[in-house]
Amino acid sequence: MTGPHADGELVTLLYTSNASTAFDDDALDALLTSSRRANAEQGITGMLLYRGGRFVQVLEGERELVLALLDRIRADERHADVRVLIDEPLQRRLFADWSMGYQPLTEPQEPLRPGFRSTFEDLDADGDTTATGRAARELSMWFRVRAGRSAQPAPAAQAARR
Amino acid sequence: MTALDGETRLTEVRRTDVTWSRVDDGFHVGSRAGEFVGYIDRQPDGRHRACDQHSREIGLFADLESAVRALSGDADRLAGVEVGA
Repeated sequence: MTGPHADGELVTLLYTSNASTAFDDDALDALLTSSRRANAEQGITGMLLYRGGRFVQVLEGERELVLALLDRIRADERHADVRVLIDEPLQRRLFADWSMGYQPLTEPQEPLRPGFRSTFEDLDADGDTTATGRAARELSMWFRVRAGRSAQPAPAAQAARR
Repeated sequence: MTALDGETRLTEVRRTDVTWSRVDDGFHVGSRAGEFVGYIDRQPDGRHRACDQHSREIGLFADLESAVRALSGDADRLAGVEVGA
């Protein structure tokens, strides 16, 4: 996907936000459907994670279009406490195949092994930009691997991969 | 490198300065100095698939620690770090 103005500066932006109200499957479907349609028109790609009332979203596209979308998200009453963790130029889209990919993510059930960090705890590491940036990239990697693994997915997951 | 017990192996892994994080149950990512070292993805059969920063498979391992060692050693070779002895 190249977008409507292929020569514009590409950026990648990752933000987190809290859902103002709990999102069930229908509410998530509605959100994904509307964002995919709008993103396709704007040449914006990315991925969305939703876990425990919290959104983590990556947006890729032309800077002006991505920042305009971020402004709309900040104004969207479904989102609260929007925090931008990554905002940087992009050489090549990492989510070129997704107008807004989605993967379900649940709370880990297994204990954290000694010597390992928790990505989601690092994502909340206020003031530690190294940890939050690393956590954001870890989530991006997780998404791409898990999305690739579900290349032959169940129907619901297949519908989510766009 | 001589035969190592579990504790010594863990010390050796840490010496590589790779930060390992759990993203999800069965999915761990390693990075050093802001760069990905690779990731380890537990497969449905229980084995751990280790892949480098380019998502190239390094190997399938019976346990997480072996996969961590393999990827940490791979990163050391790329970074020119001497490990062992």
